[in-house]
Amino acid sequence: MIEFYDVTVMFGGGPPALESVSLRVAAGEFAFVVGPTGAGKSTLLRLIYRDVLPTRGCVRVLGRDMAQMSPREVPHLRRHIGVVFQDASLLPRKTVWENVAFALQVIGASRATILREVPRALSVVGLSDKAYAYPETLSGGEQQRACIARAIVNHPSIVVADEPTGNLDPATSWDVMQVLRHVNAHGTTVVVATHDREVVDRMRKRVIVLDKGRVARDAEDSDYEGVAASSGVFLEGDLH
Amino acid sequence: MKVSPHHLEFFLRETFINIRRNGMMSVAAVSTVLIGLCLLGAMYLATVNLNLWAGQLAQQVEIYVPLQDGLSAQDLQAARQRIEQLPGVESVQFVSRHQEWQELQQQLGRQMDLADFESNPLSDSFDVRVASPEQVPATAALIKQIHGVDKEHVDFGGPLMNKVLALRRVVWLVGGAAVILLGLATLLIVGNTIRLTVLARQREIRLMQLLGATDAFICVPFVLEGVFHGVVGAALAGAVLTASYQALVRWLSASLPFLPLAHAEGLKGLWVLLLFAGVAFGLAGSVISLRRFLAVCEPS
Repeated sequence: MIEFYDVTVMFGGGPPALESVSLRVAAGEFAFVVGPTGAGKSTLLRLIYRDVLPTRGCVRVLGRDMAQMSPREVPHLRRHIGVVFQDASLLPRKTVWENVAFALQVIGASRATILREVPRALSVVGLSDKAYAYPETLSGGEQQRACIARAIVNHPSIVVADEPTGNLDPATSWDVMQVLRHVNAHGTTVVVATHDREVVDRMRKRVIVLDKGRVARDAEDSDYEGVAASSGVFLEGDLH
Repeated sequence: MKVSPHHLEFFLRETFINIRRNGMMSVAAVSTVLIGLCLLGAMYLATVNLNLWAGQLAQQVEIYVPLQDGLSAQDLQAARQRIEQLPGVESVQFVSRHQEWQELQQQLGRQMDLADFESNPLSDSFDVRVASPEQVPATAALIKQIHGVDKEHVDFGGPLMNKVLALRRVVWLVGGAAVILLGLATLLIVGNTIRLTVLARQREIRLMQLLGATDAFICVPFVLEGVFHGVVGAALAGAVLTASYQALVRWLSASLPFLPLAHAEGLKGLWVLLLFAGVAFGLAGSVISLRRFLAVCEPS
């Protein structure tokens, strides 16, 4: 599903954002990517949806080599990958319904598909009653759930979430994670970059620890404390 | 990308949402197109009129073809037929030496004593008009070879003709250069305005890219917005120029009635030019700006 072979990414003349990273995420898997600020979490995620290309090495997603892909093929790849951001990235002048429908409209979906899929996605994230609300009237957790609805409305094979609980309180963070767990339970591969200790501990999923652009530890069914202690990495959560 | 009515509805809705949302930006874009196209249209009208004047001046040029003395009626008729058959010749008018002598006496009688001449010193001649001023020198050269023509004295006012032709060339060159320069300036302004609207919405465009929209799909509402600005600017420029030009023509016709002025034909061409230029500027400006922006969004 997602394969990294000795991947290095460099921006300009500074130190590498990622260095010699090799890993594999299987279809239907749920994986956390943790690490301190600047460890390369976001770069790793951006490689998956081809927002960044590797300087060296090879990234394969859904069987396709990212570097060999022509620009015309990229939109078609991205239709199989749902992306959730920390700041939700909802369009402010559109309602929740319109924001979710927008993801289908921009790929040219028919009206019948939109009418069928948007209510389904809103129901999955528990926002059916907020369909006609504008983003500014929603709480942080609701905004993030709307963003997840937009990411899954197209039935993607992979959902990539970059710090989806970064601005949320613990209870709301847990709600958001439950939604992602539900999406994963239906067969979607989920990769989440986070430094939310509590969420990682409670989910008991695979945890990939990045430090200075390298994979410091990759543990199945792990928790935050365990990987931090065994890898010797000073994580952001440790500050609190 | 196949476009269905459903897509068209989405594109049009997005376009008009953009225009409404970027109200001041749209006003700025339409204003710049209006100013650019007013200058372009004014230059076009000036060029059409200057060309008309130069053309009319050229039409007044005739070839004076004197004939040898003592030609028989058959020789004269044969010479006339051969001249009429030359390419580009519009009309051949015979002027007898007696007729011309009388006209000369009438014109110069008070200044010159023509009685000093023992006999009429003039020749029978043809006044030849040619369709295009550019053909006059070549036609004159062919006429000189015709039997019965006094080839030494065939005259078409060479220096004046050359000045007229030079004036036409200058009008075309200066007008053409001005139209091209103003066109480029307008293109630049429209392109920059579209670029500002693109920059104002870059977050939305970025989101569309991440959601899997193709570049063509992202571009269509912006291109339609550019074309809308171009067409509205062109329509306003056309209205302003038509009203101003008609007022100017009325005033000039009253004060300088001898001045030839382009009327309906000039305005029809003006509208075609303005609408074509408006659409082209809107289209080219938005495509150039978007291509640059979308290229920047490619993965690093």
